[in-house]
Amino acid sequence: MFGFNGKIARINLTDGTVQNYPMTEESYELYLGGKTLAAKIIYDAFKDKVEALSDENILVITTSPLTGSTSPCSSRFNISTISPLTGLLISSNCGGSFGLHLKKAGYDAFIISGKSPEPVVIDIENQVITVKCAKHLWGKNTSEAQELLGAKNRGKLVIGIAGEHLVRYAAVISEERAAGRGGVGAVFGYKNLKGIVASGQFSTEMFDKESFKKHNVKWIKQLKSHPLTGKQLPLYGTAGLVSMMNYRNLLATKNYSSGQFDDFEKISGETLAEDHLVKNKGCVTCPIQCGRQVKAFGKVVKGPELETLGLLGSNLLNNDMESIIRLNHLCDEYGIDTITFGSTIGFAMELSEKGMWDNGLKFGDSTSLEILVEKTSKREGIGNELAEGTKRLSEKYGGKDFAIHVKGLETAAYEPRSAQGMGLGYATSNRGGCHLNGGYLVVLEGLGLNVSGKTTRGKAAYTIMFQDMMEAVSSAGSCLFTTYAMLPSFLVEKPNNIMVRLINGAIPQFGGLVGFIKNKTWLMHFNLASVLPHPYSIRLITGYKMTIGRFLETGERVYNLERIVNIRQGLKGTDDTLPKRLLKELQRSDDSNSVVKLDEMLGTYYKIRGWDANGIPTQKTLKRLKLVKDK
Amino acid sequence: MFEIKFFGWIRNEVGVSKLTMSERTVIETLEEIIKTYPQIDKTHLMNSILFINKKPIIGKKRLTMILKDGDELAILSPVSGG
Repeated sequence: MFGFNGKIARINLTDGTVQNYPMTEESYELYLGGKTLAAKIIYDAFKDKVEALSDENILVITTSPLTGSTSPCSSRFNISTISPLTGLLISSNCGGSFGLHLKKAGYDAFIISGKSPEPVVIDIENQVITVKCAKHLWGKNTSEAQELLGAKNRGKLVIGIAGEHLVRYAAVISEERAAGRGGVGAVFGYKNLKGIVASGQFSTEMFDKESFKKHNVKWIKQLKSHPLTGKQLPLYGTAGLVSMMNYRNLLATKNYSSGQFDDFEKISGETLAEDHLVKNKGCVTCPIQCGRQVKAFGKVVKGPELETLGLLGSNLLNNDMESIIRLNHLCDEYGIDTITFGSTIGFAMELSEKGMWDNGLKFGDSTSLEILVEKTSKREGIGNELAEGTKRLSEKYGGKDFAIHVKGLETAAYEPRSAQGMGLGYATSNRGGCHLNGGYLVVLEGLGLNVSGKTTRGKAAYTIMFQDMMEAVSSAGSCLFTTYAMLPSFLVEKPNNIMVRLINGAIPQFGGLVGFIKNKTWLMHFNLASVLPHPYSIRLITGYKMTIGRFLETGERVYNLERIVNIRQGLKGTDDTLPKRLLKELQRSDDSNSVVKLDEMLGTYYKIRGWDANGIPTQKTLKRLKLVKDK
Repeated sequence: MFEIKFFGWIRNEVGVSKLTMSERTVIETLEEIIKTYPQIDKTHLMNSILFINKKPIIGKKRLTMILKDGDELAILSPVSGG
């Protein structure tokens, strides 16, 4: 077997036993790795709905075929489980080096079931798995816990105090990186699992090493020479999006009541770079290096990403960069997701402003936020309510119309009323309000390219194509940022060129064609490595006959599989929606079109997906994707 | 006087965040920037994304638009992230 260890472990924390989990090579080829392999395991694990915080729920931690190779941006790993925040399948992806260490430890994935009677850590070294007492780590923040776990050359991931207190959006932290979304940290906490350490000297066989090396050199060169991955992201990181988002009315502001923040410059990537940047810092094998090390409050710490600048900045009318850096640091230390935390605070501020919940919070006042990170993480005072997230707060205090979440997961910092495709992506994403799982069509709608964000035309087809591609890239084990280099440089760099303007204008018109070829992936049984390098890499690593068509089909397969798991968890088509604020309230009073016109896109989306009118995949679709067998 | 603001890699090339100039057209403004900051990549600047008073201006006609007292010209480069 090429590209994989061919070994998956199942660790039962209730009795400390370890077993091998059987996985056929056919399943490896169909599901590859990462969130897609995890979805298959979770689908097979249960027959009925499972409660997130229960002994039955499992954690599935996966690597991918590209993990452990020298492919660019390939050290990521994935954690999937049933989310305590949404009750649905959540996959949370993380950079750093843990994925690499796990693969070198001799496993492709492991499944954690049951519940330990006392705090433990799992230690994996060269295919030897030991469950160890972690009482001395319980109550420690994430940096201290990682330090106490010892040797620096091992991969580590831990939860913080928030995970121990079952905060519904608790994160798992590895080095300075976070598997942040959906509360995977709370599932760790429920299972009394403080963390995992992994290392080893295993290496997987490669199908065609020489061709892989040559392909890799070209891929890295492409990433380094592209204006987005070679210039913008290294210069300003994801924080560099703040300014453009503000001008494009895309920056979530004051609990999504606006797409522009008057003080955006104070929280921009440019300000972060000019006033605080110490150096860039990226994951292992990453030529982009989008991470930031910044200086603030007398320390050098991880810099905030765009999402954190948006949700803890503009969304709260907080214009204090030092405050955001400090909050970001505290959220990582306590182990909570900055997106959901910021969004929940924004909702609580609006409840307070409207006299619906007397909580003392006020837009523009950041003085109490730092203590709220601690109170939320420990579930003290109002922190106990904030720890439940936006949806549950709205069920208690009202304000569902302006409770900004989808399926229970708070949306990211992209305000979708100026980007119809992003709005559709949020509404249909399997995770809930996730920009990446939603397809990130906003990259075409005013960020990288200049396709109109106002039109709904063609957006259903493109959203599906991008969702499936993101899913496939994630399953390959590659960072989603590598996909930006697919956008032809001349389209990115010359937005005013007459030809580029014509192409931007024509892209929505081709939605019908994109939708038409979606189910005919056999038309794409070839590789075009200069455009989409991932499938060719998989082919060279694993020997599988991977092509662009099969790659996209892998993404589609899992988008449907996740959907089926979610339907089993109780999801309905009517959950594919957005908060009323985004559907009905005009973003700008002078633009009667500045709402998300979901009704114009959702039916087409279901049709192209091969789902029925209720958003359920048809048997024909499931058979085509080999998710059910012909009888 | 009107204000010019730079964002993204254009700002990195110019080396300043803001400038002020007296009334003139967009093309005259860009030419003045190139003259004052010769280190800037002319192609990048001429292809940058422009907003006047937060409204996008695109196409050839953008170059002849007149910037007046109190206006803001924002000059940006494309972005992506996550």
